[in-house]
Amino acid sequence: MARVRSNGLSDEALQCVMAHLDEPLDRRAVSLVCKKWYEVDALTRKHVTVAFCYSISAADLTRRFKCLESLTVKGKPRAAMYNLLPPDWGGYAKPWIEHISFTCICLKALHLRRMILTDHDLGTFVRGRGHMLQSLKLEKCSGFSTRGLQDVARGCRSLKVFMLEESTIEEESGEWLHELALNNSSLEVLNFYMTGLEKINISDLELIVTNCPSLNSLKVSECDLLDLKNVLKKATALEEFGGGCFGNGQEHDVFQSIVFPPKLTSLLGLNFMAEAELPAILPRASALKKLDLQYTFLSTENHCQLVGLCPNLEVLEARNVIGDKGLEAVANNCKKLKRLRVERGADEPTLEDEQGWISHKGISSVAQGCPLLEYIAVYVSDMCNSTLETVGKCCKNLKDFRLVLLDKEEQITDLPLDNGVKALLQGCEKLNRFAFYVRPGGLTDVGLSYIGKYSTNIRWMLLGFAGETDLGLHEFSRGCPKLERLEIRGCFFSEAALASAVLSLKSLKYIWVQGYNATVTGANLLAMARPYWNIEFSPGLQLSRDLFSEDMEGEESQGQAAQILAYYSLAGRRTDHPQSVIPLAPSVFNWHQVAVF
Amino acid sequence: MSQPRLLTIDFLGIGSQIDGAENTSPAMDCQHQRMKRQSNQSCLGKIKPYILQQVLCQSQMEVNSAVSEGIKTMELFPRHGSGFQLENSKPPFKELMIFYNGEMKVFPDVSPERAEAIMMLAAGNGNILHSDEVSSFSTTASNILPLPTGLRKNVTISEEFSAEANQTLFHAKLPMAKKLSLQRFLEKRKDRLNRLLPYMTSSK
Repeated sequence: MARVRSNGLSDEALQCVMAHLDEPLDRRAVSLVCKKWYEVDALTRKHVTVAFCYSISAADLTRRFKCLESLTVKGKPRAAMYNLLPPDWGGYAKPWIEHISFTCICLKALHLRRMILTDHDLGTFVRGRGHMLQSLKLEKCSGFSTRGLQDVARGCRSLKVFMLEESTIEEESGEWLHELALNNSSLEVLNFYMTGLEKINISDLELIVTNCPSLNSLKVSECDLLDLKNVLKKATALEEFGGGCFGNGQEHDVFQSIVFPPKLTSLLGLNFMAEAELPAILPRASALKKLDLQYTFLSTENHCQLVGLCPNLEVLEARNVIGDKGLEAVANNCKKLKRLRVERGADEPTLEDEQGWISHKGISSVAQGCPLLEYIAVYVSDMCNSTLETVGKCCKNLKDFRLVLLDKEEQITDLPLDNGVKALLQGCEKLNRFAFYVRPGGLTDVGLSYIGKYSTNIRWMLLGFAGETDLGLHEFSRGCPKLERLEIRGCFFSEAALASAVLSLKSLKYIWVQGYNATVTGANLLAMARPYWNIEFSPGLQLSRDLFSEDMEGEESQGQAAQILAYYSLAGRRTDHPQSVIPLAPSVFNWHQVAVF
Repeated sequence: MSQPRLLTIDFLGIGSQIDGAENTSPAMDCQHQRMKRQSNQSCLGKIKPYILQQVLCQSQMEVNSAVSEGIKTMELFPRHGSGFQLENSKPPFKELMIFYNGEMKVFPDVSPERAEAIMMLAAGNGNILHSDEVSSFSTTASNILPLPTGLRKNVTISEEFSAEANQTLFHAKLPMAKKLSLQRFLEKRKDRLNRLLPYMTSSK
């Protein structure tokens, strides 16, 4: 009743105030104050992100938040992106879709990431929510076909955002795009980038850009860029374009006839673009804020040249062919850079540009030259402590730092990196995501203890071949006060040590481990058993046993090393796991039920 | 191998009680015994006949072996502490029976190695496991997990070598995983280059 007051505030007033709270952490705090505030929060919360789909059941979530307008659900662990999980691992969207389709009557936006859903699921969702759906994002999903997309195109006429990036879609026809072109005039974002869809009718795309004057982002699969000339000409409001590819054996000056839209600030994809095709994008270079060159055929020199023409760049992604030279050019020219990602290139030396690797020199340059950096993710071939110290000193805005030391070089300038990591963590106080993937000897137990001690705000962490013994892990687990999600790979820790570390890390909600000192049954993991803590063990091959068997090739064994996945869950034991995944806790039996009878 | 020996199975633990508790007051003793008998009888009633038969057969085998002497008593319901009574006979008996806190569980088809592993777990690391978590040694797990052949023991080989040597070999067997999206691009690039320059030798 409106008359009832809570701390001097009426219900209505409380609702008005709470409606302005968007930050999830604020909302969490507010809902814990008292029962009344919990109820008001439940009624006014507009968006929820379920970071792991098995942590809560769809029924419980929809029961609590009845007025949800936007929902994000993430399924498979990140390891799925690296092919480390079996295809039937799980992450089924069905139970979610079944609940939200007819219960969440305010839902306007759905975002699924790394989940499996069928055409039938899509159909159900469209029937339930299609009439008012504004945003549908199926990112890195699989299990559906273009028939499901047709249902979406037909049933969701007010769709503003339609994203399918990197999903695996069974392609039957290009009819879905045609339906979309006919039924929709409100699209702002259309993205079927990296989906491999080939039956794309360019005239449908032209119709979409004509009918949707608000379209500001278009990311396509590998359509020939020459065919997209008219599309690009008509899409006058376009700010972001991605995908497209440069064809083989074309006359190179033909690409100069491509005119990118006037407001364009983001360019991604540009698949197979080589030096001769650079002139196609040079006219827009000075306006570019976001540039992705990961899938181009450009050399180190090309990178230097291009980057030198982009003073307004805020986001840059490239493969390591950019080289230290390219990073130096970035440091000199791109003073506004906020995000830098340098991915690994090919392993085969003949295909790689001879300058195609980056080292501590390039990272140092960038750290000193780009003070606004918030995100750095790099695959380096060489590293030293002083560079990490430089990052700690210069990059005060850094929130996300990911370093992977590649395996190619035998000798690394300066290992272990204990002191560098310490300086980096002490210097970058805003850091909340951290990945450190090195090699044996890359970080000692002391270094690992430094990570524990100085990770005051870090919430997500990935460690690869870090530390030496269980003692290092023990020291690590005494720190990391805010660590919520942890991924460990290739660290030779025992199960008992891992279990003990999990119990020490007070904020830990989720842990994934692969390539550790596993036992046959994973039994020692039970030491971390506790209420609401699910433990799943995938035995795989015992690396410790097969260490000395010559017949096991590295590539085959990597996906099959034993894995642990443990997480807090209010939904109980998972029932849709494959044979290779064994839920160890919560247990099926209890001692009062004798199995034989 | 003389005349058949008398086998006594002390279900209700009466024998040892009588032996050791002569000095206690008869009233308390009776009540105590009655309670014990009742609880033991309820457990007894739950045992399936064929299991009892196997227990008897096993005991019989032990009696018949040259090692045993005198009358063998077997406590089916130990009053103090917990312990595994592992089948020390080899096939055909592959069942593992676990007696705990007055209750019994039977796991069919447990190999000797796995049984050894369970025993080691209880003996060595028994302090780690909590009582209600031990039940996770379910039959489901034992059927699904393929026990590698030739498993010597449940302790990793690492103890035989230095930690460093292990880590290096370990590292070799667990190469860095490649991101699928990038892998796809690099494959396409290889195809393209091979088509354009058919005479270019590959790295292999």
